[in-house]
Amino acid sequence: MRWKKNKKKTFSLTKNKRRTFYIIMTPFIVLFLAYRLFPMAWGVYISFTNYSGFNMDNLKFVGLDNYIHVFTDKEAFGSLGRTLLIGVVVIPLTIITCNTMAILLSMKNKGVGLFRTLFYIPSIIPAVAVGTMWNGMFLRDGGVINEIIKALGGEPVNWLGFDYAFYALVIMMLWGAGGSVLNNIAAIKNIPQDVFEAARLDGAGNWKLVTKIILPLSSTMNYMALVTGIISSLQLFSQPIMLSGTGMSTVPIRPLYTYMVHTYQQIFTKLRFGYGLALTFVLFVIMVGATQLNEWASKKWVHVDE
Amino acid sequence: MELRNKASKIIVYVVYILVGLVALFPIYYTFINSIRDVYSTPAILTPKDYQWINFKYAVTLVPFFKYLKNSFIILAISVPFGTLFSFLYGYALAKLEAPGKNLLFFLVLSTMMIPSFATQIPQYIMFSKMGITNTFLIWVFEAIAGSAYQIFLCRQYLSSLPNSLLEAATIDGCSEAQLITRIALPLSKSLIAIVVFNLFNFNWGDYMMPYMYLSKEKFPLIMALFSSFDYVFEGTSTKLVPVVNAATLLVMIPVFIVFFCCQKQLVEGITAGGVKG
Amino acid sequence: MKKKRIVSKLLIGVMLLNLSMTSVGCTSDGGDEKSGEKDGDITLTVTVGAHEMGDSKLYEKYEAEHPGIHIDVIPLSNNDTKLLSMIASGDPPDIIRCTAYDELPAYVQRGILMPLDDYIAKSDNLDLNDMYEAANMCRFDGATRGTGSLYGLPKDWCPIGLWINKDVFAEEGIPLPSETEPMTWAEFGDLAKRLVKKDGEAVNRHGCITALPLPTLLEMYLNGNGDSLWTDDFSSTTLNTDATKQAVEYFKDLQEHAAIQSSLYPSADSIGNTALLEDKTGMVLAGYWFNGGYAAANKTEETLSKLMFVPAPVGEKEAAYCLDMVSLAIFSKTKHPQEAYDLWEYLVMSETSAGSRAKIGLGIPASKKYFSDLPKDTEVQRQSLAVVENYQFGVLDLTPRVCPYITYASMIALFDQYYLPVLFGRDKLDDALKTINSEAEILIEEGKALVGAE
Repeated sequence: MRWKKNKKKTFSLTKNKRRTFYIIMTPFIVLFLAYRLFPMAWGVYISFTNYSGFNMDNLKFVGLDNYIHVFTDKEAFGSLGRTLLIGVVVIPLTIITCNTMAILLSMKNKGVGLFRTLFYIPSIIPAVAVGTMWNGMFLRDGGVINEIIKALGGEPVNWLGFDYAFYALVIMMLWGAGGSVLNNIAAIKNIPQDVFEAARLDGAGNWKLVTKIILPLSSTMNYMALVTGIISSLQLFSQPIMLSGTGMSTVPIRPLYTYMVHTYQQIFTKLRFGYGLALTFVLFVIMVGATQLNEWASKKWVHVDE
Repeated sequence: MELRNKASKIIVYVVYILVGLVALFPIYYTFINSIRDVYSTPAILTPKDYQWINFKYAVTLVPFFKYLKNSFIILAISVPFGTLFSFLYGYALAKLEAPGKNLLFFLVLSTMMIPSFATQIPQYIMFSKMGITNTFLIWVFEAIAGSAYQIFLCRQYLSSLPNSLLEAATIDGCSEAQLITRIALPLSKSLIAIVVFNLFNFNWGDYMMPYMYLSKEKFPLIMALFSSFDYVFEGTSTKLVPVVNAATLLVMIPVFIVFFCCQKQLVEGITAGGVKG
Repeated sequence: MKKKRIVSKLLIGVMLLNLSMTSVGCTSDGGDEKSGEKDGDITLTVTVGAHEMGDSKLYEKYEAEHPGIHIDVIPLSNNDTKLLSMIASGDPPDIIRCTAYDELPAYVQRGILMPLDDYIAKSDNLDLNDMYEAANMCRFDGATRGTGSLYGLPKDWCPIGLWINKDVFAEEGIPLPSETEPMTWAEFGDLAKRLVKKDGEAVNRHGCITALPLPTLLEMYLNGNGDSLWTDDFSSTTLNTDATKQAVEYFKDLQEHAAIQSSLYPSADSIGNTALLEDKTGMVLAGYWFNGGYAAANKTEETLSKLMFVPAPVGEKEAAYCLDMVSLAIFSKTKHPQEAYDLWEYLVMSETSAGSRAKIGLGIPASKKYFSDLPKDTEVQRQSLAVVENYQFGVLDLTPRVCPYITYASMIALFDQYYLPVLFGRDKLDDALKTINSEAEILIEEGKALVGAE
């Protein structure tokens, strides 16, 4: 009797849930169609033309030329390789740092709030200022980092030159890695205290608590960090530019010449809008692929309460 | 998680202090470089000069209070609207089932996958045709359309909410709307705190949108302080790094305050909420 | 549980309250805008910052004198997205800032600028005979600078010279250069190398700093010997000729010795006016305008007494070049050409605008009538002005060329991209120059196709 009633209820429940889902998502769908789709569609359209920024009333269709150009452009591939290299180094280091700090900063220690605030400082410095700051600190002569190296008896190096620019970028990006530490802290704080207490009673040590409880239960946030990390590192643009100095149209030294820098150069310096947008959409397809791959792999390690 | 033995506690504090210093040093560096002479090379470890006037330049080279008002209008739109809609979308994508859900989630993510500089021109054309350039309506739309990162964050956070809890509440007679207001929302205090803070931080510091769509009458403070990289000073278009540094420190103060308030919410976490009881 | 419910209700309440407040805020703000702007009012959009123009109340004053005209200023950054967006949406700015040396020819080729001759002919306030010859930098006939229609006028101008730090020269025991006889590039190179001060690998002092990008330096060097970076028909660069290669090697050698700053030996100050005061460079290749910056930063006569201005190095012919020159022009598709012209005239010519700029010493005014307003308070102001007047005016040379089919920024970018690795020993100079040349040729071809040139 009871079972029967439940089944009926479950059916109406799913229907109910479906309705709620669409009600909630309606504003998103409407605005996506009205607001987000047009710029993307315009971009796709422009990627088949010779748009140069000034010839709107005199556009010419060039067919697939721009896309063919992407696959014959040595710089496009070179810069994509460099972008991937930076991502492969920075993403894992960022996630490790974030998790370590989240664990330490979610402990109930005295003054933890203050340290949490300190650790978050890099993320609240306006992006424009971050570049100026690091640029000054990495100066070859008269930069504080080289002065410290000298004081410690080392050889100062040309941080922003060809040989060290990559390391300078990685240092700068890791320093700003705390951006998503709050998410991990929230995930850890989400774990009921009794779970820890029970584990303690079973004789689990700190390491066990981390690997058996904290990491699995933070996996939803780490999944997000990975997905957004891949998306943003493939689009890496502003950090190399800021580190190199003077403005958006700066060409960073070759190891920092990323795919998006190349794209920006095509669009705004060389006025090849069509080609720049073709580069953008090729990267878009790569990102979709990477995200799908990630989604598939995530089933193996992300803990979701179903 | 709590540490039981003293030694590991000391190690943790050493890490706190080291990391704190690394994070804090750039602020100190920005500070000593905000009080150097406008025409001088960077200070290294100690102040070279004490030109407090740079702080005055930072606020007097622009109509400070007018721009502050504009900043507040933008925040008053973006933060509450943005939080509300990100939370709702995140909830729907995490806890409700319907055909097309995966597609919608993909659409959310796809907005992250195209660099903003590639869509700025068509967006400008669109706003211009709609006649809403130079109004704050753009921020209303932006908030309702949702920020991909915040929606993603809400989805991830809410997906770890136990389904059993929602089911129990349904059996108790909660409607779908009540599930959100009575169960999900009270259990998401730390999430809300993070989203509020993220949106505040982003909209306070964003200069690209105001630069693109507003005219100087409606510029928020950040736009004035960092207008276009080259700070123009009494006729010379030199970048006045010390003044920019002073402005940076001033701009950070409100974000600091909001962060400190939000992080208190974080401390409580979900454990203080209803899961236990 | 009850308490929680209240909290959540409160939260939603606060959100709703906020929503209603902000929507009220929006509409009332929109209302203000409309009530301030009557039918028939005109808004002119300008891409020049007020601060750069001398009098910071410049636009307010004009609006007060011309009821019905509103001026909207877009502070253009290095990123021109907004400008391009406005053009693409059919809502272009009216008055745009461009540098006469490197941007104006390409803008004219793309049909962005309006020829001003007819308007000037009709105007009572502006007489081209009052203008310095340098204003002809804004004339372009599609191939040659200095002839054809006039597309703009400089907000002010000054030829490149050489600022030197007398203390550094004294310390090194080097006699001061002449104020009337320019040195040759060879002499300049030797001097720059001798002024470098190194401590092991650390560079404590550069020989010379310049904000001029390498392509500009090359054109300056080559022009002095009757050559150019560009072929006669602008279809290619001359990077494959011996003369140009030798010029590149000349500057490369200086960069490798820290005699000129580069990413190999960068300077904390890429413009040079700061480094010069702090003895971190012996010389700076830049124009008279440093005076304006020093005055604005309240530098005392005592601090500035170590500075001196002399003619820039030359090749076979004596010359003084203008290699940037910020100018104002009118957008060809402006909806209000006459109103835009009137405002333009006010910005480049009026007492309020050009007069106030002359008093600061930001450059030589475009019009001769403001010359007497240039500051003469300090010794260095008097000395540098004398060099401009007695030497540079006499040998002013507007012949350096810029290819109008590609953006100058892309030429600079090509050098950054392919030449810099050579400095670090990662590429061969010959290969890099070949790549730059072929990339430039492709860009030129694309540019020609766009403007429909043969």
